[in-house]
Amino acid sequence: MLNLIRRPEVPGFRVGVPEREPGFHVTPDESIQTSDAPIMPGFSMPRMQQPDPSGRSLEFFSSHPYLRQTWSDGGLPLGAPSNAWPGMEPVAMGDRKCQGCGAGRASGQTGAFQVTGRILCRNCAVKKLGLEDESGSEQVLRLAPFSLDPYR
Amino acid sequence: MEEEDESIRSKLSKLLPGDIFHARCPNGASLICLVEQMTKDTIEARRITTQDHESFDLETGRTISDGPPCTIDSIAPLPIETLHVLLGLERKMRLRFEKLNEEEKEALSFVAFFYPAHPL
Repeated sequence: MLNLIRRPEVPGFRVGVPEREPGFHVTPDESIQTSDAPIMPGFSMPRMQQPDPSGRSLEFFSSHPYLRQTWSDGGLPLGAPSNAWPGMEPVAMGDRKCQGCGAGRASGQTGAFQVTGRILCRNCAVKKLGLEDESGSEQVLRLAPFSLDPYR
Repeated sequence: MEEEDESIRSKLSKLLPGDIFHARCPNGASLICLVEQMTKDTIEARRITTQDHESFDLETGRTISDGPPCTIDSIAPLPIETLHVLLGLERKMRLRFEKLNEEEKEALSFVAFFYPAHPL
């Protein structure tokens, strides 16, 4: 349950209301329009800006930055399906996860090596091959033959 | 260009099953490969460290894959001691893996310098 408390309005941050700056006002989607394109309350405004049937004004809610869900910030609205962008095709499926990282250790590391058929991150590969006591430069040389072939 | 390809083919054609050669991937991965089979147009090989199968084009020395290919950069014969260690490593990776011993670590460090010093 979302608990919303009405706060005092901050001058200059109200949306949907003509500002005092001559010739400009701010619309709910934060674009700037000139006075030549007047706001039509209840008609062309987003749903949250329209009059609430219960009689309450939702103007404050729509102005709250954590309640807005816009497409203009480059991200998808919370909970939107990943294919919500029309015409967008996924081009990457993410990194290959390390199969050696587990409970009690760092997890989610990117796998970069293959040892005995398992994809391992650098730390796990070093442990698996027994290279813990080697210097960093020696580890690089000795791990290179176990690097993943990225196009396999 | 044609002469170069011909030269690559003639060099790679000398490989026989059981030989070890080296290829390099665009991401820097080192492929130490054991030749399994020579066909008319390809070299069928196996990475001794990961046991992955790789097919190389005999004309170009490049892996046959969809992405940017790995390329054979050296077929220089390894010193016999190193060859034996790597063949043992191949068997270890295939049959029963244990941590690398000191000889295997030294061999892997050695080939990291040996193959770039003896390019195709």
